[in-house]
Amino acid sequence: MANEVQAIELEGLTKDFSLAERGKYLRAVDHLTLSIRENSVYGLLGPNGSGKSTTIRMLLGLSKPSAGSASIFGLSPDSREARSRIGYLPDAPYYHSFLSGRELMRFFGTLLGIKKRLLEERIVELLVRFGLEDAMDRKVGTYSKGMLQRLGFAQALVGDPDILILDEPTAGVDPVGAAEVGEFVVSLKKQGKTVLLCSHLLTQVQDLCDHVGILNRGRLLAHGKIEDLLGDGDDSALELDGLDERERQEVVSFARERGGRVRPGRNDLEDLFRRLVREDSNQEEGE
Amino acid sequence: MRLFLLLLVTGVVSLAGGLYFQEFNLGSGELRFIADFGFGAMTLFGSIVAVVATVQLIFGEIEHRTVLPILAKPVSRGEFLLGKLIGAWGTVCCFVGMLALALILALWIRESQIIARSGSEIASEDSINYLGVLLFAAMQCMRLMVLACITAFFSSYASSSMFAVFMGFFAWIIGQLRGVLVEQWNQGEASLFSVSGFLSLIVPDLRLFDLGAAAFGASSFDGGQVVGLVLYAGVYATLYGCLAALVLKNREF
Ligand SMILES: Nc1ncnc2c1ncn2[C@@H]1O[C@H](COP(=O)(O)OP(=O)(O)OP(=O)(O)O)[C@@H](O)[C@H]1O
Ligand SMILES: [Mg+2]
Repeated sequence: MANEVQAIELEGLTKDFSLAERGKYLRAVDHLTLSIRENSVYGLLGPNGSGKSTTIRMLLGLSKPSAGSASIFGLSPDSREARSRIGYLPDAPYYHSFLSGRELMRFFGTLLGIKKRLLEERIVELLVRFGLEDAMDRKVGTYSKGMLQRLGFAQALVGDPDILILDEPTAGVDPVGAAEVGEFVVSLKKQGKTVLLCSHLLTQVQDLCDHVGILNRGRLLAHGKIEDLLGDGDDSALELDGLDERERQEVVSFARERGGRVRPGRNDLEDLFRRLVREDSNQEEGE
Repeated sequence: MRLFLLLLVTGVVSLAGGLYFQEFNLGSGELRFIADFGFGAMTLFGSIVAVVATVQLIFGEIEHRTVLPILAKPVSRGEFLLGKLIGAWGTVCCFVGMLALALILALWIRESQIIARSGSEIASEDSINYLGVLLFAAMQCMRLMVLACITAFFSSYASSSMFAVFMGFFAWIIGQLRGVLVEQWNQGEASLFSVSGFLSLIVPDLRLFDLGAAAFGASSFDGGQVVGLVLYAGVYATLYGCLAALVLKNREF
């Protein structure tokens, strides 16, 4: 277990942004420690402004950690090799609007040092796969938001990376597209890739991820397998199964007699997420 | 790109305009006038193109966030900067080259007209040395390389394109005035000497590159001077290029 290759490892990763006021800091990421196994799908979940994108930027060497470290296959994010093994889908799709989709892909492929022949084949294959067949010779500036997002996927995959870092992959994508993103993540995992996924759309993420981490105000509130999180997250929650209506009523009235509270519905990831974030925020106010 | 075309058109039109207004006869001195006019256009528009293209290529990339997917690829910031600088400088060189061709063409037309009219050769001190024009253009390219590198330095630091463009033009003006300023300082008090010495060291003298005189008459140009200027440009371009790379390396995205 200890010797297992970790695709991504964060250790005490911290990021402070200095504010306009002198000596004041905004701690966007707070001692984040986690590791992501190779060939797994990790979901980093958190509300807006919780530090997901900041974490990712540090993982890519776009931003320097204030403290702690990040590593990719044991390599520093600044190393060329580490970055050649990562595909990155940025949170906001901004690409050179004066290039066509195909030219843009060619440009990125050249940056990765892919041989020309292979590159041309791969470009067409990827653009077709992401439904940009008809648009590939049009200027990127004329693409719709969802098309840009698809182009982002194609661009992330052009170097055939081992790790994919997807920052809000479903932003701006229609429900059909979002379902496709899900299938796509599953297929990546089948190919042996590692996926780090950031999102706040929990229901979409729930079925995809092997592990999740829940982030709020830069701190990791909970992490692990979804089943485990939901299982021991709330000891007092019981799920009733295999009883008929009358028997269930008996259980409920029994619980009520003893002063217990019975809530309808199942505890899912979304509940857990809301509860953790709420508790964390209350705690903040208490301090 | 559109701006580039606009400037090119401006340059060509002003040259043509210069030709047109020269219809009243100034004699052979007018060749000198056209040449000076052309050199001025090259310097002025070349500097504008150098500053704007560099800011657009470097800061524009940061501003439009298109830099993120590029730097997430195995590309170092230094390589990114170098690529951009080569792109900007290439644009500038093309632009200056086109202006130089237009100027040579204008001069040639005018020269043959004058010769045809007067039927005699032009006095040697007023004749045009076309190689000199090319040399002037080449030295402008060197000068604009320095200017592009200084602008790149400000672009990597800037948080708005206004700032970057402004500082680029500022550097241009200071660089042009440097010769005069240094003279004035040196006449002043000695206590200023260290500051002025430092400043005159970090600010390149952009006027050194104006070799307009070489284009007239039978003047031969000094090979040593040209090599010296190229080295001078190389040193300052490298200095500011490295500074820009350093600033960019520490920039957060
Ligand atoms: N360059 C920056 N300068 C100052 N503060 C920043 C900067 N980038 C991010 N922040 C702050 O860091 C915090 C975390 O931002 P981040 O973009 O990581 O959030 P996020 O989890 O990705 O949110 P979202 O779901 O909205 O994308 C925010 O409070 C944000 O204001
Ligand atoms: Mg984000």
